[in-house]
Amino acid sequence: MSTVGKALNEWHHLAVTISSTTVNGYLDVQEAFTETVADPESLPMLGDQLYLQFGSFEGEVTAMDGSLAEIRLWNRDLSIGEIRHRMYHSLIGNEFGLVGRWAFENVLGRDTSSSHRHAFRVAKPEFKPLSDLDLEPLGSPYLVAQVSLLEDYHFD
Amino acid sequence: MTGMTNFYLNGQSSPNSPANFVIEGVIPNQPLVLGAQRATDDIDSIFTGELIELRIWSRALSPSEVAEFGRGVIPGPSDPKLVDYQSIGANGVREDLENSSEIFLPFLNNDIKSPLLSGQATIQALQVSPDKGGMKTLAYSNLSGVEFSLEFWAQINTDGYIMRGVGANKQVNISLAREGDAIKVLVNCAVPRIKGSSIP
Repeated sequence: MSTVGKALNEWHHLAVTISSTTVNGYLDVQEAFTETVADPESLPMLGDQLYLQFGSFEGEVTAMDGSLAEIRLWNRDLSIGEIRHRMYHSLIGNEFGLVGRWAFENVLGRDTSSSHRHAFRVAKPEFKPLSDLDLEPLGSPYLVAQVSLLEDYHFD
Repeated sequence: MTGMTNFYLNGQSSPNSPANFVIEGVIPNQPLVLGAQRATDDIDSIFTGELIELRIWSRALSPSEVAEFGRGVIPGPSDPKLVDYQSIGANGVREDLENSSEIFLPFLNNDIKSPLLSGQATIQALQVSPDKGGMKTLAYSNLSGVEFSLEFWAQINTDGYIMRGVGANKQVNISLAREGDAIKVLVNCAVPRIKGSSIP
């Protein structure tokens, strides 16, 4: 795919899908790569006792300097159509296969999916308010849809 | 009837008075929160349902007035003590009718079941860096199968690792880098059995 003109310091939507046979990566919902996995048994390791780390690696590798917004984890292989359909839509939290959603509302790492795998600070990350519009990629036609689709919040 | 709180349901005095829970006094300069206990705390007591026709008076109503309104009588606009009157069933921004310069935030349509908090829980961007740190989640113990998808928005000032999934024995790292005109997405396994790849 062409990435000419893309700048790292603009907002980008990234998605990685993992199935038993392939790993797909999407940048701004265009297919960025498809890689066949030679050894499918290597993938279930993501399952039990998995936790996610956002941008802090305790000095083992160089973490990026930047911002993250609206992180979603699914326990299924999303199609590019689903990703494209939902990327501008807020989620309720009980969508099929959704096992994590961190949007950092109110400067908290609350997981608003039904899994409640809340995130906690490592060191001193910062937060900045983000309007829905900030996530709008250049040239996107979804401006209005994004504003009008607020979500329900259901916390147990 | 100073100092008393009365509660009516369908125009009739209710035996289930909330008086024990009412804190006397007025808190100035704070937003009126509907459908949640606090505007800034999204854990607390969120109402699921619909509200319509909110009216606020700066005086106590008599039982007969409440009974009238319970039957559907519309309060007269001449009542100077009717300080706010929200017909919440309507879409969009609705200024109150009695010129107290209060404006309710718009709830975009009737399908939004919990509109207030949705409008006020500001989505934040998490800013991370080697100096600042980041966040880590509680561990999962109930995931199954081999299929996963991860989505997120990122704005990157310098290249580097963005995210990591840490399993019992292995971990998957996701990083992003710029290479000429291409943005390179890397997915790799620290005990390397998942291949990395990049955008050509």
